[in-house]
Amino acid sequence: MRLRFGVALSSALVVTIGIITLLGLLVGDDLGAFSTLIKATPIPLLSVLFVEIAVVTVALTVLIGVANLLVVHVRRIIAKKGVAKKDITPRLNSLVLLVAFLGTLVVAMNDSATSRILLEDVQIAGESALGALLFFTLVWGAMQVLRREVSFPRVLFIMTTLIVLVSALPISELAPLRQIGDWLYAVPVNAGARGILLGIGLATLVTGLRVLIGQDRSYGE
Amino acid sequence: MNSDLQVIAILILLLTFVINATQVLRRRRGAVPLRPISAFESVPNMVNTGIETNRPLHISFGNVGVGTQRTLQALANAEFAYHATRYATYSDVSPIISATDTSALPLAMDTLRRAYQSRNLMRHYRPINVRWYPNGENSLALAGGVMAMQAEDDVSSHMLIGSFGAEMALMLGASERHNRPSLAVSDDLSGQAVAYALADDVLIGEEIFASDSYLGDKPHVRDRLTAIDVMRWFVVLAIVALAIFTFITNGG
Repeated sequence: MRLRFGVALSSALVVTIGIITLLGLLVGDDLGAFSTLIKATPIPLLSVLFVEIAVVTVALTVLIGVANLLVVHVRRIIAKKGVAKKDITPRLNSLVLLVAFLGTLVVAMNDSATSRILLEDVQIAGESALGALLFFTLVWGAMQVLRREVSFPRVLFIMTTLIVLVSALPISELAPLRQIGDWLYAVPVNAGARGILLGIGLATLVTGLRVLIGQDRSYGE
Repeated sequence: MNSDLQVIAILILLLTFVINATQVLRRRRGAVPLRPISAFESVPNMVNTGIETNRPLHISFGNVGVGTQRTLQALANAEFAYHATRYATYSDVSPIISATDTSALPLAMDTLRRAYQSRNLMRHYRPINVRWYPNGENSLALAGGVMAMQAEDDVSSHMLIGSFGAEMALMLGASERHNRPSLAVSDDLSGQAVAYALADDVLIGEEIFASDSYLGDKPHVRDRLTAIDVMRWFVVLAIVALAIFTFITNGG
């Protein structure tokens, strides 16, 4: 019974706060009597307050993230069994991460110039290297498409990728292919992309509304 | 927001409400059949492989977070993770959930907790198995972390559900090299294309919102899918009607 009361309470809170915030944000000055009615209540003020609380809470979760990072890697270093039992590499990786974290923290608090150098010469360089590796992984991935399964959608996927890539080459003899590539971009690729995004948008809308009216209530269980 | 947009937004909300309500009423007359989606069918197999080999299952939310414009996607991903980890709670090794947005961490921890609580196995719950990999969109840090995780934690399979860009290729590539099954979906189109090319099983677009219906044991959530389908037909009809109207008003 206690659990059900908790679910009912959290559902009531979600529905109330959700509807107040929606009304406060959606109804502006231009909807005549409806706007006047909403403005006569504390709904606009409450909606701003709820949004501010949400923003502050989300900002505070950065601390949870940092704490999580530290705890995960400290435990990995001191673990006697489990994930780090096989060899020294995971412990070493975690140790490097912790030293780098603490070092960067100390440097950032004392010397902003060195901190900028660390960011530009270490982090950005490292991520750029990984980004370059990404290019080769994508090419390798395209090669894997037909190895996994030969089907009409996969052949179409590869054909489209090849036509778009080849048509991007700056060779005048490929002008007709470029027209096909442009058409592919403008019509089927664009339509497919919009279809996927519309689907996600509709699902988001329906799910949001169901959360608002309390039909979906996984929270609080 | 100007008044036209306000009116359109209110009308869309009302339409969604009416369609959702009609599907709830319709549900009472009989269950709606679901079309088979192979990615959902493979989830129990992926989890069972982890249990049998005593290796952890890895689920990543990517860059979705609560309090952002991807809040509802985060909730949908959490539902998927709940059902997948619920299967995996019988394993000796707890599943690992990773995220790059810190606001997703409490959601991920709660998802893991709910999964263990639903099986009365709270003594095995370890919030530490939710991990944060820094920075936001197209997080190469997450990609690097997951690639390392594959070797260090000996993950049994990867489920990358959330928001990923092209960096998903690095994670799926590592999974493929270690011969581990993978399931992927992304709300980012470049990530979705990579998922289609590289993942063993792929969900497309809004299919992630259907995990409750396919993996769960609550038949009442099926009317959400029907409501989405009905809305989709409304959009299709609106687009066709608009095209015909434009064609006629432009004089053919």
